[in-house]
Amino acid sequence: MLKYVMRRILVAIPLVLGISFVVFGLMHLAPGDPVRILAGREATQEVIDSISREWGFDKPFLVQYFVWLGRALRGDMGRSVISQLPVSFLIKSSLGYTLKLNFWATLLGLAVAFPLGILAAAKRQTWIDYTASALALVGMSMPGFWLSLVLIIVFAVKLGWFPTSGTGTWAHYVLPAAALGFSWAAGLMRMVRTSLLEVLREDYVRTARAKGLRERVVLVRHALRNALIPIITVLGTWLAYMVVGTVIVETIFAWPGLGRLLTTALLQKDFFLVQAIILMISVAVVAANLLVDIMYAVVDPRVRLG
Amino acid sequence: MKKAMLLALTVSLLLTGCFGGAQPKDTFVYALEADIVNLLPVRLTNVVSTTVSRQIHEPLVKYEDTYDEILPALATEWDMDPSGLSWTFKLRPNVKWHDGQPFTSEDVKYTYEKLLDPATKSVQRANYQVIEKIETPDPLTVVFHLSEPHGPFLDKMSQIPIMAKHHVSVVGMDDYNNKAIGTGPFMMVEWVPNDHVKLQANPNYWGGKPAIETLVFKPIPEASVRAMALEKGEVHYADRLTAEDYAKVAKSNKVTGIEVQSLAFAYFGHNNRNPLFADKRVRQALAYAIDRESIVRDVRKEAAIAASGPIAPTNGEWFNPDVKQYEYDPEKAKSLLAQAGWEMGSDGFLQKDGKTFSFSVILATGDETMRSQGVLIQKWLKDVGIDLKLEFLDWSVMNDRLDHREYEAMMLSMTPTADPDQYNYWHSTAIDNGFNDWCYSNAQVDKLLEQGRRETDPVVRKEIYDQVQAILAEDVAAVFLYHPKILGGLSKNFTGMTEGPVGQAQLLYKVQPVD
Repeated sequence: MLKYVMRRILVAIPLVLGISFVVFGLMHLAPGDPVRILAGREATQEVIDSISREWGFDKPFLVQYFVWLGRALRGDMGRSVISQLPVSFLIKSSLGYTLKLNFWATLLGLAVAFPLGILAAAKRQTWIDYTASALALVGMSMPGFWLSLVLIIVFAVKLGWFPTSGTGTWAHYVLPAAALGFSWAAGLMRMVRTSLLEVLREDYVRTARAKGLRERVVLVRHALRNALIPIITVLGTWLAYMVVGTVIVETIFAWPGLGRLLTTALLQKDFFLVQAIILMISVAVVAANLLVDIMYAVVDPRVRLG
Repeated sequence: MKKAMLLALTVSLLLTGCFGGAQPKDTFVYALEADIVNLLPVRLTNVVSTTVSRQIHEPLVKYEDTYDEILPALATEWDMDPSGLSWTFKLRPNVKWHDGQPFTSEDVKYTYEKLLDPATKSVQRANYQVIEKIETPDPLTVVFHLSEPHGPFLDKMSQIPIMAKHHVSVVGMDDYNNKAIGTGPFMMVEWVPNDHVKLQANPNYWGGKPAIETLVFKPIPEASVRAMALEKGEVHYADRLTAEDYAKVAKSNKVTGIEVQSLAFAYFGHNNRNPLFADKRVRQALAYAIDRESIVRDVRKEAAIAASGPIAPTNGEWFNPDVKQYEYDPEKAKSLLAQAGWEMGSDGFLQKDGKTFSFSVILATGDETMRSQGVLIQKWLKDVGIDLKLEFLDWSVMNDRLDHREYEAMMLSMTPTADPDQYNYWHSTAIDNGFNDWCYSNAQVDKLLEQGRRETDPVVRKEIYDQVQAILAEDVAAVFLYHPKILGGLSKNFTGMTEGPVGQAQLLYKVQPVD
């Protein structure tokens, strides 16, 4: 097991490096010059040249990449070209907010998806199932920014239960976490239902029922556990989903997290900041996939790692 | 049952207690459209940073409420040497920095020397190179020596807030935001990136302690969310609302609409280097063909005033009303185009020498106002036989195209300073080395702009810039559309917000809670 994990980590390193190289290259290819954005349109060529030199943007592309990589490996992520603040400071101040928001969004998603999915499977083709499926359809097809605005209008402005945006109290978490968790939960719920229905047709479920076990025990202890493998695969896409969702939800709810930092950085072509955030996200996604693979083995003893 | 009731009670208590906007009455929350970037006075790059920085730091002189006159700030009086080559400022006595140190002429000298130091990488540096030497004969006197007389000098002194030498020379110029120290009405408490900037009233402010104790700036990027937060009372001022949101909140009984007249001018700018626009009659035809009143009414929802040139009517005495006006008149446009040799083709577009009158305009994506404006102009030009194509670009791409002057036309807006010295916009050297995006070149304008810059007598300057405005209008250097108003909303729990034309940075020390 440990050997397997080590090997996966070793494979992941070139992957992460490759991603960082591609992103660095894309940032270079994309039109627009961070120095121009920083200097403002009023700046003279002399100012622009001196800023370019300062940041090393006058060097060849490969040199720039390896200089950056060398610093990054030593833990120096550089400074934001635009605000001139250390990238590490900006990331540190926003990472916590994003983690907390994603934690609650995930919890909310799980809390909605599992009970609803199980219920829909157990009461198949009843009004419960239909309602849950309709809800899932709505959840999956609603664009994130639209859902966010509707939540604000209904729950913040009309009903006045929660703040419209920003941070501060636990109440500030409710709407953005709901916006972030809901459509993910919708997809997950569908998966729980389908997967569970499939397992419920298996012989051992019939055997369990024949033994006279209560329906709840049959569902949760016998069926659900075996239905988990495909569900875990869906959980694996969770992180990628959250990253995308975070970018939209954080901007609308004025949430000071990583997604918003990334949005602003991309718009301003804030080189080193974009690089650092993308690097972090890619490491996290690779790690999440690894975790999913390990989870398979934990859930299903038939899956062998080696 | 009992349990359920207890739960309901707790929930309702939490709901009312936690979210009921339990802010103290003297806390003022200001919703910005973006987070601050850098508060350091010599590295201010955008409006948001300037707005926040100006609550903490003060310049030597300032505008307040109107652009009609320059008022004392850290300087109480000033005097220009008859040669125009030196300016002496008397500083306000007994002013203290937020850490209790006295404010002196050394601080002024330090600020401007840092501004001029290439190592500071200030984007403002080029505008201050006329300063040759700064002397401090005593702690309350500063003398600026200039390389040549400079008309816009006093206006320029209103733009750079002064920073504390004893402080900045120790803490450095990077990572300054959380350590900002000024002489202004508010003191820095904390900055949490993308979340808030918190300031606190300066009890020793020379102008008296502000009525609001805590001033919080919150960046809320979505305009509609800013409006909703204002409606709900979570913020007390929301900046840059859309015309639709503004109309809605201004009607509510909890919010006062605030329209700040900006100095900006929006334009439809043909590239004057393009042979298509070489004939003045063609340019004038463009101006007659575009209905600017309709743009003001239907697109801007009255949140703008129609423009006849690059200087806004609200800009003190500098505005010249007696320039050529172009009322919407498609027939006149058609006849001017016919005079210039363009004939109507069978496809409904004008033809000349076998070529169709067709060109494209670049404009930024994501801006609804610009989009509607573009579509309308496209229609109006089609009415007179001109085929206009709209080319929507991302900001970074648009900037690149502007830098390289690669466009037939572009649609944007510019925000000039209050001083009429628009050398950087209209002088022919500014095509390669400035902001002359219209690539406009006129020897007479060049000469006037050079004169106006060196002239220090306001009466003579007024004559010069009146002429510049007249020529720009006659020539149709660009089709000037309107001067936008910046729309904001103020909670009725507060008063004292400046409604005047100081669009760049609201001064908030006069804001106070209503009892």
